[in-house]
Amino acid sequence: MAMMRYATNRLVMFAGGLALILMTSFFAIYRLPGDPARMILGPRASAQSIEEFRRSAGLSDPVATQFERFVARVATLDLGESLAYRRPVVALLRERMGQTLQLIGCAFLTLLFFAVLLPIGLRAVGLGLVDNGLRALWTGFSAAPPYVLALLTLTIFAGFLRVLPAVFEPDRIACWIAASFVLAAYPTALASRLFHDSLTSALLSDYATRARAQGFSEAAILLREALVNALTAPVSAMANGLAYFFTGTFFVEVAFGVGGIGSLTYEAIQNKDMTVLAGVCLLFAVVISALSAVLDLAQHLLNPRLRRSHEWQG
Amino acid sequence: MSGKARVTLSPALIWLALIVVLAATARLLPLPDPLALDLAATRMPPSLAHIAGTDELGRDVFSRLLHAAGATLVIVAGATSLSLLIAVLLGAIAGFVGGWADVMVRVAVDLLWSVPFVVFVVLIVGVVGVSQLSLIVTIGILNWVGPARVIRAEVARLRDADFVIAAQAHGYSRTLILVQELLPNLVRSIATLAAYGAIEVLTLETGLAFVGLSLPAPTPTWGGMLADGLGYFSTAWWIVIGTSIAITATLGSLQIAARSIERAH
Repeated sequence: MAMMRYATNRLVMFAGGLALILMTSFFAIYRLPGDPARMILGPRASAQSIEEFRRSAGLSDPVATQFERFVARVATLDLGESLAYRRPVVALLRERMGQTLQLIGCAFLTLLFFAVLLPIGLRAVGLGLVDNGLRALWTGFSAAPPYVLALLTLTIFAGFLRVLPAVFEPDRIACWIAASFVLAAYPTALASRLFHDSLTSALLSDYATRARAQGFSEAAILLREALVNALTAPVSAMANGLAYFFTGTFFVEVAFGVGGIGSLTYEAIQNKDMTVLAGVCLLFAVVISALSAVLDLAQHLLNPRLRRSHEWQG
Repeated sequence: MSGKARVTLSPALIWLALIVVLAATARLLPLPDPLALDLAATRMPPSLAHIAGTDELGRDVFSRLLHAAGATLVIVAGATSLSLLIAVLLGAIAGFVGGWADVMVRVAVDLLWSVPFVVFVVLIVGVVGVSQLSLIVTIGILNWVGPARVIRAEVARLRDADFVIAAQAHGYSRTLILVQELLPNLVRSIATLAAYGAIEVLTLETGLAFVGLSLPAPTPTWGGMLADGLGYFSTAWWIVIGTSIAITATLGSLQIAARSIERAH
């Protein structure tokens, strides 16, 4: 019952958030700086052609009608035409999506490997010290924001050591490794710290002590008893990491020159290409808020302790 | 506070104080003009004349770093204060008054919580244009959600404390109780939230400047300097290194300060 109420509530909030984003993008494209007809037709358009365009595009209609039309268009995946490239925004997004998804995928694998799989392996074979060292290293990396980390990586590995090309080459695996390490640094540091803490407390628990008294090896206790109980913390940190990747990719793509959606945003900012900017923001807002709604619901399903109360927490 | 914590806290506070003082007095210091081009001395490595080197137009990197710090700190302080003001106001009302006020604030919090904050800021600032004011207002108005949750929970917890009941029995008004009895108890939470908020705003403002949403040229910003350095990281590494040190050390110091305020509870 409480779960149902929480789910409904979360979905209503998701819808409300979408409405908020739609309204902001609508105003971004059609309302704010100056005359949209002038923006779309360019500074040399004659007064007559602007008047014609206003009529044909329905820019003289009431705002509510225009907004309705905008929502209807967005619902059919029509995000308008780029002002700079004179091409449909959706086509641009589709074209650039590949590299962004590839980068986020690589970063997620990095996160999974260094925050969960490698620590389990190292601790199971008794190399806890190496695990501690790696964790400290990631914490050190994550002290710098992603754009600083990216530039330091480039300066050291492309500038001094020359093991990375100065310009991003999608065929070189080293480029992807560098970019995904930078993107994954912060969530990896966070998730590995949480995982370490929860594993350590699980290994000190009564059931671990009982297993130890029964003569199980430390590796067996770790893998068979502690692991399952310690997994909720890093899983939710990894889930949040996934949402973080979608904003982090803006900065990492621009720094490394990956030709994905982040770079498209950068170009849109440089060109004052409001339709593309609004399109990207709309897409990312939908993806991120859908992701976080699904993850919230999943966490409530998986973790019975969260179900008990949905009061606000500090 | 343990001795070890104090050892790391003092360099952090010294760094922060140094940045604030140097940024505030940058105009008075005997530094090269941050905007003066010197095309005979472009991309010079660090030397006695230019302790952090010069950039691609021969401008002094150290002087630019300090001047940029001023503009950035104003944005950080402004946006953090604005969001905390909203957070304390709405959080305190929601927690203390309860009822419909609580429901309204909660809906606003949940709504903004479900929207990705960075995307929203990029969109709004991209459309409105970048200025100190637009950054302060946009970030301030969108970033109060997290702090408001904390303040609301604190106030709701304190509402039933003995000293509040005593004040009510004395017939104090609600406003008086909020200001005189509750606010002093919130100071530490507010300080912690301010430090974490400053980290968030600084990271965001610098990131926005890096992707091109920087204060109008020629005003230097840390993020803009990083973006400039991106074109020259193999021939003029000092631009990237100097700027990176400034950003990372400031963020790290704020982090240490935030953690020690939090732990002092």
